[in-house]
Amino acid sequence: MHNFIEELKEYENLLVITNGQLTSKNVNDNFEVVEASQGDERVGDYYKKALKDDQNPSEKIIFVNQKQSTSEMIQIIFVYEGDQNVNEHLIVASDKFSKLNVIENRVNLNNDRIDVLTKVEVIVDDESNIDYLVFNDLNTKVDATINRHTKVYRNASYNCAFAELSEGNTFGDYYTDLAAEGAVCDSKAVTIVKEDKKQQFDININHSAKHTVSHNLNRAVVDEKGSAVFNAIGFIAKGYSQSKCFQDSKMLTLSPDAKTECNPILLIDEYDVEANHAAAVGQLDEESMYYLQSRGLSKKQCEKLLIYGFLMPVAEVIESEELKEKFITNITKKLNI
Amino acid sequence: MKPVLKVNDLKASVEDVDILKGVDLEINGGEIHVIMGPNGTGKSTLSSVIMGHPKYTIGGGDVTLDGEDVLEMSVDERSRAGLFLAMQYPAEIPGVTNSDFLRSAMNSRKEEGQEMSLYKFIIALDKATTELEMRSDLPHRFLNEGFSGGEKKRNEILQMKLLNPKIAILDEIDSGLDVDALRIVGKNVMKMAEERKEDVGFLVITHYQRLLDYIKPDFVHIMMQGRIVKSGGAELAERVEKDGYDWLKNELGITDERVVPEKVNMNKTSLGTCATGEMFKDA
Repeated sequence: MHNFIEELKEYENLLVITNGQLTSKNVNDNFEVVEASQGDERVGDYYKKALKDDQNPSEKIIFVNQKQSTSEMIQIIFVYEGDQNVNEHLIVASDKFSKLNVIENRVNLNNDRIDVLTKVEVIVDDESNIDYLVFNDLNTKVDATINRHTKVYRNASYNCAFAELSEGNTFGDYYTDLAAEGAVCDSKAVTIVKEDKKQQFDININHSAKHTVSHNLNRAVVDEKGSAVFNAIGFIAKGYSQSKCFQDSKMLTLSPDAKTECNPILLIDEYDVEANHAAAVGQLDEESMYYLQSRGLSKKQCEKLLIYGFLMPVAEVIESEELKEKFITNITKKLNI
Repeated sequence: MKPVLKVNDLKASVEDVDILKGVDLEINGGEIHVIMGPNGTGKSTLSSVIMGHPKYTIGGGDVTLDGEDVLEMSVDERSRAGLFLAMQYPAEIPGVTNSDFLRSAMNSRKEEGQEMSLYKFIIALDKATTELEMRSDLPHRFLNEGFSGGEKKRNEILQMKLLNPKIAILDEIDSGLDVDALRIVGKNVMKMAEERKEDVGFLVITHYQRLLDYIKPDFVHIMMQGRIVKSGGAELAERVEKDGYDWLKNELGITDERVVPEKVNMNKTSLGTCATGEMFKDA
């Protein structure tokens, strides 16, 4: 196994997917892992919960299914090797009444220019809970398009955190459907953009049942000539009363050439709901800098503290100390703070 | 050595409005100076200019601390040189915990490798928070975020205690404080003055005489029109409390004591404001 996998490895259950193919599988009996094409009878059941029906019939799909109502942890590492463009598709499903903790990583080994198209679908079954942490760390040569489609069922909760620390262009289209009563989604995303790269995240949460709750928090730090876009969209259709939909998006620019765009969008066709959205775009607050400096901290130290503070809401949900450490060193290195 | 802060003919402006029009002041270690005066006469500006707030432009004069030119220093250098300003409106900083901040601030004035141990820091912090009767969860809370007015002011005094400045400037530390908090703040300032004697000098800016029930000044200065117009002892503060400022204005022939324009344009959209709502507000 490659060194970097040892370095990244957090959990006993580990899958490595290289260029879209399952290359290493090390899981306990509570998981069923199948690599199949659409129509394969072993995966028929998953399609009853069909997420998207525009699948490409020839496409390989990797299914990860939690079979027992237990509490499990699994790590899935996507690796890109060589100069081939990659197309990959993963489905992760929890069992009813279970708890599943997932870490998803992305790394590339070579310095070749490639495009990556990823589809990740997550099924959070009734009364279950998935904590899903994504830690992407691709270099400038990779342009990634990441589609996520999640369906959360009755009284289930999906807590996801996206540490988008890749250096290339990234387009993320994240869609979560709160499909049954009591479904909850807590989504936190952070991205750091520099050079002349562009990163856009459309984070869409669709309430399609009563008593559903969503929190959507986004943070971007943009340096040099980078550009970042957040489209946070919350949708509550008529009849889905007692639902709650909250958004909080903030974007920080560290250079005069950095570009940010933030669109907090709430589409609500029901009176009996709670919703709010906050959006802020700007530089480091001058008053905060002055305050911290007046206590003896250098300009650089102040910037560091303020940026950490800014990214804190995402950092604090990373449970693993090692990953948290990695998150912080990564940011420190990337922003040169 | 007894610290000395000298302010000599200091002039400063903000957005082309002259606020300070020649302030002279000398504060030595062991002395407590109080600056009083009506609203908008330049009191807070004086403290901000001494600390180096980027908003102000210096128009002339000089400030020295132990002979060193303060105006040449950056804000953090001034702090490390021994100046401290307890602010009227401390910034709220989400995501940065009080203890992380305090420890970094304390270590910023130590040589590399000489940083304070975590144990020593906790002991010092614990002692100071107890003396200020602050909530025990304070170290884990984000810096000033969600603090009540009184908690913020006490947090300023906490920082002053931990950073041991040579010259401490307290800018309206008494505004927004209830009676109990005022007593606690006053007692802690006096305690520091008594313990550190000639090692620390104070400049206390206030509107009200009530703070002076706890803090006993050696010198009282009254500011109007961006200048110190009268100096005296504690009896001057008592006179102001009893008679207000009109007698002094008459004596000096001042009709308008203000230098800060009264109307500040606050029309700015900030976090939590509904942009659509703002757009249709005037429609």
